[in-house]
Amino acid sequence: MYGKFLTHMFACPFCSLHCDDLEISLEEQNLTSLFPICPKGINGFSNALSSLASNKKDKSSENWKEDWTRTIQLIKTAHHPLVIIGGGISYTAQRLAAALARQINAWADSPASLGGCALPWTAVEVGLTTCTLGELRANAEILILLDIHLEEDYPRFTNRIWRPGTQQPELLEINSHELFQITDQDPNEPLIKTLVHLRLCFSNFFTEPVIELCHTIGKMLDVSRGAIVFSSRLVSGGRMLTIELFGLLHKISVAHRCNWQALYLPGGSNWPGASQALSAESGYPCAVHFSPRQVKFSPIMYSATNLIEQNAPDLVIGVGDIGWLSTKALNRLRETPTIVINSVPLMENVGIWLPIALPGVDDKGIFLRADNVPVHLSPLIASQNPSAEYILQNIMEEFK
Amino acid sequence: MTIVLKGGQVYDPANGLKGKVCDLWIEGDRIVAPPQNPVNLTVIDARGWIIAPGAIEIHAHLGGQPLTMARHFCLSEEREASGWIPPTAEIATAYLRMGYTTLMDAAMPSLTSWLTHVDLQEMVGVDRGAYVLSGDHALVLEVASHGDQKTLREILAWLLVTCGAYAIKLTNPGVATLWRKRIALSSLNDEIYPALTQRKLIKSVASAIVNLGLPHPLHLHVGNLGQPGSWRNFLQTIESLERLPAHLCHIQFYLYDEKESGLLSSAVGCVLDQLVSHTELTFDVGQVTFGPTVNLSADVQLIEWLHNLTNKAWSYQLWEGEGAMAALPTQYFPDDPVSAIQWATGLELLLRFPDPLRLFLTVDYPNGGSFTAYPQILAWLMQRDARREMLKKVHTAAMSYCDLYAIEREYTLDEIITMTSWGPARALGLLDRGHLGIGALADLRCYKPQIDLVKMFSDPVLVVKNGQVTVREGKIENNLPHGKILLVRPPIDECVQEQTTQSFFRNITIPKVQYGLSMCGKELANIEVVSCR
Ligand code: SF4
Repeated sequence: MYGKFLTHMFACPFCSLHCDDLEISLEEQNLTSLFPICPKGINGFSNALSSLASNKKDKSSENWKEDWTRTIQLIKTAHHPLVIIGGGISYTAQRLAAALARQINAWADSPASLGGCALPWTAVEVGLTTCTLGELRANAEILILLDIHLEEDYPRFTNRIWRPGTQQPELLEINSHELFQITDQDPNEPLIKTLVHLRLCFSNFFTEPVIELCHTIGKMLDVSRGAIVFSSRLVSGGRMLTIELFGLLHKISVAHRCNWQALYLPGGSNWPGASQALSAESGYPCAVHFSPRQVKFSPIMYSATNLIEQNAPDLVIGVGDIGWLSTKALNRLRETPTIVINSVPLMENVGIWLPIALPGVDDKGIFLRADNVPVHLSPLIASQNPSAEYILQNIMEEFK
Repeated sequence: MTIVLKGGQVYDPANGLKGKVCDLWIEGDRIVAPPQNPVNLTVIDARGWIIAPGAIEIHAHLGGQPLTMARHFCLSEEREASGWIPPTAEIATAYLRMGYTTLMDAAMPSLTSWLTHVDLQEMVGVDRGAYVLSGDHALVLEVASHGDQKTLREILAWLLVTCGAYAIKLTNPGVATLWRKRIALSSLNDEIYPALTQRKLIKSVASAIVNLGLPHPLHLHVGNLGQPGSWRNFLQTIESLERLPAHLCHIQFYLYDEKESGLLSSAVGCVLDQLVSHTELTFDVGQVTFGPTVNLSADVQLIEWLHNLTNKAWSYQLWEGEGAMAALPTQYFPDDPVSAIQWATGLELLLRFPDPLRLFLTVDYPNGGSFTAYPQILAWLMQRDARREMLKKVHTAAMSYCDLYAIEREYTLDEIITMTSWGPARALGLLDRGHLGIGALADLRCYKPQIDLVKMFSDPVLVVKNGQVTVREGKIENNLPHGKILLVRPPIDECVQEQTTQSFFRNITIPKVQYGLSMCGKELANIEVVSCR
């Protein structure tokens, strides 16, 4: 495991694509190469490895003991705890976090509450028509990337979608800040050329014209299978927008008697796991209260952001990455007793940080890819850090 | 530890006991003969109790990605208003509380089979297993189209092992493959893949399963579900099996004819003789109950049809290399003619089909409603007056278009036990349960006899799983036994499957080492591998 080695078919924890075709090499626990190259992956691995080295220095066993005692004490004395299930931890740990919330009758939430539970409510309002990455790869003739910054967020998206030796799907990126330019740019590009004639003008990206635009594209291209790919950027724009978007897909499908899907690429790694875990433990995807008699659901009242902004919880337990909370909520955490169980601290001077191993770096674990397909991550190196599962099981043991 | 249940009325259809008063001895997790020197003896006074083998759920949707999809439609703060689907672990304990000790999940996708297994692991207190969806699996279709039965066997065996499944399930096979191309699948003779009709696929898979010697034969969801006149396609499907054994699920949903008024009518009379004569087949009913619920199926064409009919939001997810899963919220109203006819058709079928060893009670949870309605359904079967009362309360179409009212039959308790225990156990090839003979698994339920049958079946006085008391006076005990995950592991020819799966894995985005349970198969806890014949 140590010194120089090369691992084939390595899976990456750093975005929700969870690429499983990487070759990675380390020398003395330093990343020397990652192939195929992905800047975000390289960054993620390098940071994780270097913070691993520094954690070890920071977190002496005495500190651990002290933090552990305070953690148990805080949970024991809390009357209104909130458990937030984040990304960056394994699905098994996410299930345990939800089970802990149930055990201590806490509020519990997942990133599915973004944009006022946009995705779950879309299912109820207009339905969700979605598919796996490979389904797009095999069948989609066009992908419309709606407000997605591929380079930044999902650098290897196209590698995952394009199969060598086959026809590549048409790729149309529509980003809110570039929308004006699309109409008079690059007239040689066939798809854009057709758009030029539209002479569309948008005052607001998140409104009906975009929906019309997509509809028009569908009509113009007369494709029978396509997909709109979007991310948490769009979902966090609000519930109504997401509902409208799916309504559009439905319209296109009916108008063309074709299959249009949506693929939601959640921003954080293993976000789909968080909502699925909470759903399996509570019956609801997000924003629940495990009250003693029966679990209750209230997408507005019980969302983590809302609860923290209202100062409702007297203890917040963040399991995994909870950096997706609103800035206001994150700032509130400076005054609220908080326990963060994650591979990296949340912010300076926020609560107790119990460092854990990160699947894909110093732990194993299963993450759900953006399309809910499980991907197994293996450890690159060994570390002293306990797994999230270990910490959560021990906390639960204390409250049996 | 030894337990003796003293002086109960034992109902054990497999061993011909119909309420015989006797003592029942349990040692460890098995039923035993009275031991010479029992150690750690616990005596339970069972005088006046009815003792029966634990009940078995042969077809329900219980976990994994499909159930998450269904839960998306249950967001109402008023649970009852939305047909709320409880957490997986609670589903298991709710079944256990009613005396169910073995549960089968009817639709495990192979790509996300690991997620189904996480849920199965949580369902403590019962034994459980899952059927792997295979009817739109690209490999199955490709190999079957070549007519290569040997390789088909290998692929089915590989799917079972890779996904940790108990049986092979075909859901209107080929439907998602055609649906992707916007082609409707309407008949057994439709080509679902080059040189492969649905008829040929069903027969090939049923035959391969016989040759593999799996304990449960082909588990089949027939096409044209819910359509007026669907009984014809249903009978043709039975014929297409050419007397190969199979289990046909939720068959109530196919037994509809159409009246001039445009309404459905029961077609039980049109199929009954055939159902009875095909002794190689078993069935479950898919009874409809009243209230809100979610339709959930890999039959994506069916759910789209329901969506167009009802104009309700629906969801689906297409999975690379295999089929799809679709969901749509629904509600069965007593005063709606269609719901009432569906309700009455199920009961009519149960009451007219004579053999409880071959037709079992299910609601195809959550499709027909909640499994918690089982006690009520059993009471209707046993009490003519109660069901006639109910019939008067539902829409008159049920009276006009079904023969339910005229039926005099009342199920005996022995028949109820047969259809819920020994019948499904035998159909699943789980011969260690569903009966109380010496050596059987000590899974049993005890009732205090009472006039209110709904209450009696809802609240067994005692439920024992693996020789351990798990429910007492309706309350779940602490420290439930973990129970087993039931699997089959037919032998695999590594060479054949290596060669055959190569192109499949070139076409999907998940490598072979990541597929199904490949990375964690050996670590699966609490499994019981049921042997093939
Ligand atoms: S695209 Fe995402 S998952 Fe793939 S290597 Fe880059 S950061 Fe990792």
